[in-house]
Parts: sequence; structure tokens; C-alpha cells
Amino acid sequence: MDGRAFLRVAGELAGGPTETHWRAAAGRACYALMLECRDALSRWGFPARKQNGHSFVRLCFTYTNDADVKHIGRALDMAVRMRNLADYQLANSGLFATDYESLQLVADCRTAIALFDVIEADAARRAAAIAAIRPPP
Amino acid sequence: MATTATIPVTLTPHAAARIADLNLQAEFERMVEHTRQTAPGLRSISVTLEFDPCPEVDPGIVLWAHRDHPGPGYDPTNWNWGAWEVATFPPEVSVHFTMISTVADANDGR
Repeated sequence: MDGRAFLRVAGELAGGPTETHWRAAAGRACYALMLECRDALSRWGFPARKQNGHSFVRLCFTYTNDADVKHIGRALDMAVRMRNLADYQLANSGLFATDYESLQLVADCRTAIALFDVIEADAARRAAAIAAIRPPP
Repeated sequence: MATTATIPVTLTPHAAARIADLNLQAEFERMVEHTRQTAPGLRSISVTLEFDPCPEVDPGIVLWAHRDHPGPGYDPTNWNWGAWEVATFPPEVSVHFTMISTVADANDGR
């Protein structure tokens, strides 16, 4: 399966009835985008390391000269921040008192993956994106 | 609704210290101003330092834009802000900052 398959589940969870659903949606949406980014890096010749794999992916999508790739990276960073809150900060409902933030996060991740597909489908844009990646040491 | 000039901005001490340590006060102020200008229904901005559960990831500064509920449907405020950020700042700056708009109140956990 592809990472993006989690996005459908994230959408279902975001439409669920409880805070638990909305928090779980944030996690699945984040991983849908994270895994799409990781697998793209692997296809492009930059396989993620087993150790610190998450930070490797995030930094590859941050330290690049390609504006679209950087834009996806900022969406990924936001998704990670939301996922951290959803999974670890349970003391109060905060952002997850309603379904709204999770629905928006799912939509933002869907938009990022759609941009990804545009890059992948265009050989010139894909080549430029690959050339601009600067993997962390 | 408050005018953009009167929208309150609050920083936690940790966030303020991190911005000072990074010497990114001017960049931060540009981000605040851009948020004021582009986040519809903005009520306030709170700024926090968010730590990642993975210790190898540096903590990040998050600008929480507290807004009126914009209604149903996709709201591209976060997405558009990200486009502006990467067009305006180099990765060495943007890696430290994220803006997340929210309908939650500033005193509701963020």
C-alpha cells in the first residue's frame, strides 16, 4: 500500500464523533504525508535511514532550493506539530475540542500530496526537485 | 473585530528566549505581521515553543493564529502561509517556525 492510503482513513476519522477520532485523524494524516515524502525520497535516490528517519525526511524537504518541495515540507512540519499535540498532549482538548482542526489538517495533507503528484508527473519538475534535495549529513 | 494593529500577540518565555537565541527577531516580526494581514477573522496570536518527542529534532516556534470559525469547507490559510514563508525566508529560518491557524481560544491549551 501507499502512505496516502492512510489519508482516506484520516478523513473517516476526522468525520467521526469523538475527540479520540479527531486526534487519531491527525496522526494518520501526518503519516500519510510523511510516508509519501519518505517513499519519494527513496525513489529519487535518497533512502531514509532507519535511525532518525523522520527527521531525515523533514530536513530533506526543508533544506532544498525547490519552492514546491519546500512548500510540501512546511505542510509536513505543520502536520508533525499537530500530530505531536494529538498524540501526546492530552491534558485538555485544546485543538481537538471539535472536528474542525483535523478536517483542515486532512485537507492540507491532501493538498500537499496533490502537489507532489504534479511534480512526479512532470519529468522536468521532478528532475529539478531531485537536483535541489540536500540530504542532511 | 479587532483591527490588525490591535490584535494581541503573546509569547511564552521559552518562545521569546528561543527567538532571541536564534537572533531571528526581525524575521519573527515579519511573520507576525503577515499573519495579521492574511488570517481571516483573526482574534489573537499566541507563540509557543513546541518540543518534539524525538530528541534529535530541535524544538520549533509555533505561531498559533486564533481565528473566528471560517465556516465549512477547506480553508487554505495555513497552506498559503507556508507558500509565503518558503518564498520569503531561506530554509535556515523557516525550519524554526510554523504558523497554525485554529478556531480554539488562546487559553484553551494553545
